[in-house]
Amino acid sequence: MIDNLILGFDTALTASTLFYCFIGVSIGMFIGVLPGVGPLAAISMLLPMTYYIGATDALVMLAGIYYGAQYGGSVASILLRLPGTASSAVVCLDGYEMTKNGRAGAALFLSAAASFIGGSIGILLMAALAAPLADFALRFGSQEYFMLMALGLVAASTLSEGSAVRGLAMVVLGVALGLVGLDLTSGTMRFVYGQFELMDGVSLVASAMGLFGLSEILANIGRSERGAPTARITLRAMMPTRRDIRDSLPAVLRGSAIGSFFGALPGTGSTIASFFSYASEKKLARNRAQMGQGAVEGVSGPEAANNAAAQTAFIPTLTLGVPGDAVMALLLGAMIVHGVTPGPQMLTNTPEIFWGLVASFWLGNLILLVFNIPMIGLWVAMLRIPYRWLYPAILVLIVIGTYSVRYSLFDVWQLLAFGLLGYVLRILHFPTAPLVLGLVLGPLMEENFRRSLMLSDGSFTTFVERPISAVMVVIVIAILLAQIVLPLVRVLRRDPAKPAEES
Amino acid sequence: MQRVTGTRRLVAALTSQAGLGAILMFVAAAIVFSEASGLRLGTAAAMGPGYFPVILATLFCLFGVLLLVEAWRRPRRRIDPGPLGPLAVALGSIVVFALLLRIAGGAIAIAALVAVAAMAERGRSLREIATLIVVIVALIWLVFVVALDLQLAMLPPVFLP
Repeated sequence: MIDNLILGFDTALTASTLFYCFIGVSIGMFIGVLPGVGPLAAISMLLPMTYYIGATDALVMLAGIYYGAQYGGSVASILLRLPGTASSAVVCLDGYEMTKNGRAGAALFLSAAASFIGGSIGILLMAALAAPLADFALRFGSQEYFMLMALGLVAASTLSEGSAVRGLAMVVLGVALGLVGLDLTSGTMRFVYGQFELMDGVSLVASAMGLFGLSEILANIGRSERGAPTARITLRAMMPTRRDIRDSLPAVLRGSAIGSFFGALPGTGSTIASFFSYASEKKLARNRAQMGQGAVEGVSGPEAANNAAAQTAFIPTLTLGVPGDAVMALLLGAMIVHGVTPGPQMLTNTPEIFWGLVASFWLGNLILLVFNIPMIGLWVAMLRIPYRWLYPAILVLIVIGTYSVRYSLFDVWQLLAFGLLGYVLRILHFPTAPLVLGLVLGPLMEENFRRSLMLSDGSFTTFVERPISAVMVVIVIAILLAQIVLPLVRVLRRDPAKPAEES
Repeated sequence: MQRVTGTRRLVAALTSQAGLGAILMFVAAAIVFSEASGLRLGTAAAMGPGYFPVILATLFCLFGVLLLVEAWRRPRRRIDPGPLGPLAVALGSIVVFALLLRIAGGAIAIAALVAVAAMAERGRSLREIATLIVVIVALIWLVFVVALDLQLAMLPPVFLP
C-alpha cells in the first residue's frame, strides 16, 4: 500500500494535476456555497470541458467538484439557514443557531475542520479496502455484475427520499433511454427514428445538464429572491474555544464512522449519512440537551459524516465499476469517455490513475482546509450575488457546454427536451437522479443480462445458482418487499370507500 | 367527509399527481412496445434486440398500475406547475440561441439568449441587461475560445475570411 500511495502522490503532485485539483475543489466549493446549484449540475456543466485535458486531470477535477461541494454546502446552511447542498441541510439546525448566537465564525471553522477529518478517514478506508475488494470482484461473472447493478439501482432508487415506486420507475426510464442507438450485439438501430445523431445514443452531457442544470433553473426562475448574509466573519472570530474542540472531537469520529459506512453502500450517500449522524448526536453528544439550539456537535458530526461518505462513495464506483448515485454515474461516464475502465481491472491496468485519484483526494481536502479558512470572506461575498444575475450566466454555460461536446445543435435540442422532461418529472414528484444512474448503467446491464442467459442456455435460475449472485437476489427481493409490497398492502387494507387522509 | 364516487372520482384520480404519473408510465410503455414490436425478439438463450425492451415496457406497465392505485387512494393531491410564463421565456431563450448560432455567430446568439432569459424576471433596467450581456459574452469568449480553444465562431459568418 505504501508503494501504491507513493505512486499516487507522484501522479497527484505533478503541476498540471495539482492545478486541476485546485480548480476542481474551488469550483466545488463555489457551487456548494451557492444554494440552487448542486454538484450534479456543476459536474455536468464541466464534463464537456474535460474532453480537452488528460484522463487523470479530468477525473481529479470532476471528483474535486464533488467533495469540494460538500465543504461549501455548509456555508449557506450556517449563515442563511439555506442548505447549499442536500447533504448539508441538517447543518442548518445548529449551524444557523450558532450564527444567531454570534458564533458564525466558530461554526464555519468547526465545519471545515470536521470535513477535513471526515474526508481523510474516508480516504484512508478507500486506500485500504480497494485492493481486497477488487480481488474479490475479479471472481465476478456476468451474473454477479448484472445482479450488482440491479442491486445498486434498486437500493439507490428506493432507499433515498420519496416514493420507492417513483424512484424505480425513473431507473427503468433511464435504462430505456439507454437503449437508444446502435445495439452492438445485433447491429440493429433502436429508437433512432431516422436521426443519425442518435446513433451513439442519448447524450449523457445533454441529459444530465437538462435534468439537473436546466430544470433547476426552470424551477427557480421567477420565484422569490433569497436573502443575503449580514454577518461579518473575521479570522479571529473563527477560532473555536478549547471546549468546542473537546466536545466536537468524539462527534467527528462518530460522524466519520457513520459516513464511511453509508458512503460505501450503494444507494445511501452523504445526505443519509449526515442525517444519521445528527440523529446519533442527539442521543450521544455531550451537549445533547442543547441540540437544535447551537450545539457544536450538531455541526461537526454531520459535516464529518457527509465528507467521509463523499470519499467512500468512490469505493464501489472505482473498484467494482458500479456507481452508487447519480454523481458517481456521471464520473463513471466521464471515465468511459476518457478510455479508463473503472472496475477491478483498474487497479492493475491503470494503477497510476487510481492511486493518483486517491492521493489527489487528500491533497484536495488539504487545499480546501488551508485555503478556505482565510478565504471565508470571499465565499460569504459570493452569497451576495443575486440569483437574477446568476441564472442567465448559468443558462449560457449550460447551452455552450452542451453544444461544445461535438458542435451539434441537435444536442442543444436534446438539452431542451431533457430540461422540459426534468421539469415535468419534478412537478409529478419523480426523482431525476435515478434516471441518470439508469441511463449510464442500462447498456452495461443489458449486455451482462444477455451474456448471463447465453451462458446458462436460457435458464433464469442461473442468478440464484451462483452463491454471490444469489445473496444479491435475496437482498433485492427483501428491499422490494419492504419498500413496495408492504406499503401497497397497507394502502389496500384501508377502508376502500373512504378517500385516504391527506397529510 | 363527503364521499366522492363514480366518474368524478375517476377523473380526479387520473388528473392527480400520481394519476398523471401513471399516464406517463403508460405512454412510456406504449412507445417502447411499439418500437420493440419492429425488432427481433429472440429467445432467452439468444436474445434479439427486442427482448430487453419488452421487459422494460412490462415494468413500465407495472409501475403505471402501482401509481394508479396510489391515485385512486389520493385523488386530492394535485400538481403545482409553478409560474409558466418564466418557464416559457427560459426555454424560448435557448430556442432563440439555437436558431441564431449558425446565422449570426456566437456573440449575437449568446446576447439574445441573455436578453430573452432576463425577461423572465421583472423590473430590470436596460442598463442591467446590457451589463449582463457584455460580462457574459466576454466570460464565454475568455473561457471557451481563449482558454479552451473551442471552435466557436463568435462573430457573424459575414465577417469571417
